[in-house]
Amino acid sequence: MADNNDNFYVGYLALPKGLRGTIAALVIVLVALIAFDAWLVATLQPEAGDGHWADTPSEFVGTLTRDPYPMLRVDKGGVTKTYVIVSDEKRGAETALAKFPDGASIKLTGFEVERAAVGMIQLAATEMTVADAPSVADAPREIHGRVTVTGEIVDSKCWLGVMRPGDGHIHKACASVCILGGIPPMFVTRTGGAPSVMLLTLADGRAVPPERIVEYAADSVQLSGIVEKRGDLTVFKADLDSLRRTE
Amino acid sequence: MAATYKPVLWNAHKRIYDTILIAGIVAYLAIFIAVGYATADSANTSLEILTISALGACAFFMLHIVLAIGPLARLSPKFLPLLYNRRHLGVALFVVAASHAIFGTIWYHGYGVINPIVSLFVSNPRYDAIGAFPFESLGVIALVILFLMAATSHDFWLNNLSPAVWKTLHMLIYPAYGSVVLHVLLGAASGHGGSPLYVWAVAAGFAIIVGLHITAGIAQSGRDAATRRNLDGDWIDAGTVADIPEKRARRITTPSGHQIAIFKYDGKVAAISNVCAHQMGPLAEGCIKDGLVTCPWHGWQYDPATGRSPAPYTEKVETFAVRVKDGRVFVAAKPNPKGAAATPAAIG
Repeated sequence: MADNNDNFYVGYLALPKGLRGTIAALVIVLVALIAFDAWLVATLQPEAGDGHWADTPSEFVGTLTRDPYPMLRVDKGGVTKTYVIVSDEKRGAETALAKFPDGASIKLTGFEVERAAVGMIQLAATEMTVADAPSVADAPREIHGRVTVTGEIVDSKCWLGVMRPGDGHIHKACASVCILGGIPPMFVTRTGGAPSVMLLTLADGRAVPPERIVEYAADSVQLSGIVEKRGDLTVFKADLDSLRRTE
Repeated sequence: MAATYKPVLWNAHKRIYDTILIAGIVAYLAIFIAVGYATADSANTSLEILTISALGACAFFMLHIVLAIGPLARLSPKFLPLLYNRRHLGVALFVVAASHAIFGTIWYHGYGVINPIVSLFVSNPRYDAIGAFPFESLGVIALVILFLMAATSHDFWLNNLSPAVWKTLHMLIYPAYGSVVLHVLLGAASGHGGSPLYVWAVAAGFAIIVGLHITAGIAQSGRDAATRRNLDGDWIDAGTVADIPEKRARRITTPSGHQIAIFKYDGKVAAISNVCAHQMGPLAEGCIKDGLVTCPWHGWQYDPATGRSPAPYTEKVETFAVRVKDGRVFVAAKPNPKGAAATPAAIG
């Protein structure tokens, strides 16, 4: 005879027939919730940006400079392309390039990274050699005046394409670790459409000591300084005393 | 119930529950990553970052389910099958959350000149800011709590810590939830290019959890108020026998706060504590199965006349003397010691 306990659920006993419909309904609702939540949150992810990080290494021949960060000037059919050089992981290339003097023609293998027409080479774990190639001259420097801009201090490696996205609050810790590791800092502004990026230096053009800016990385900041064009590279010679957060 | 400790006392329901649980986690991650790729404006979407985000979102979703099951089961017994194996859901939640934390720590804090664990706490030093507060540390707080809960989820710890201490420890799920909400709001929901809809989605989840708890609390409060009885000497008039369903119970609360479950079965009534010795489940919402009081939460059983679990089990709850007079049940206000026999009263 049926009694009021027929549908009483006990986990280690057989599932009562009267509860099968309830269990099926719970599973269906759960599946629907999983699909909805996964879809919704996935569509809310920040944009990855349009940076590019090559899957395979390439060979580069050019002239090494450290003014103020390790860079390679490469002649590309009569046009000079400037690549910022970094090591793998979150480390700058100073140590890896220590044996080469400024102005040396070198051949190296690395992964090309590029965004907003700014190039970078991440050194591959292969030997670098002096190259028998003509020196690629530094581009003339053009002062584009003093500006005060609002933007974000980023580590160049992540922002140019290694992390996608490589900016914003989520990326702050990574940017800090990168900058402390010697990855050259850049300044990104977002007034209007596409982001604009400049290599960040001290006002006198020297490399920025990481400890001067690391706590401001990834924050929205305002900074004053002089914009200088060096061929395909834009340099922001910043007065770090003017650095302040805007939020 | 367990006479000896085993890692898991498997049964058919736990296997089905865990199968659905694992399939659900895999489905969530797969849908998230597939949709992430399909809807991204840029073809540049990073699989690593998408995976880290998917694991975090999945853990946050699972936390909502864990928190919803309790009040839902208080509102309707139809949700009790979800409660039965909830500890496996909790352990799975910790595993997914820990995966999110490990991959996120390696990706964002590793490969550098700072120890990644140290970096978690120092790379964003803005502890004095509200909007820019380091969201990582909030995630660490929640993960430590989830670890403590997962590590002590076994009945070995429940018995050794005592149900009251264990219950208090596992109530830390609420601070953990608060910490995770802030972790998400200050982290994932604040990213560049993110949508304000993210914040609203978190707020909606929070409102659902809070709303369910308030609704269940109000319902429980109403039921509790209806159970209060006054003393008549050393006895409490617990109402008519006829109104207690066969093999079910009526719950009453004494003036001193004891909750008593009065069961009617086989032409007699018996009274034992309403509080299960396992996880303090409400025995009065259980029933008599095979002559034993059976807890609605995990099926622990007690002899209604002695408050003892059947051999070889050793759990005990308090019993109460009981009388039936003129069709009404009277229960002693003071409990007998745990496991002390109290003769059931014939209905007559």
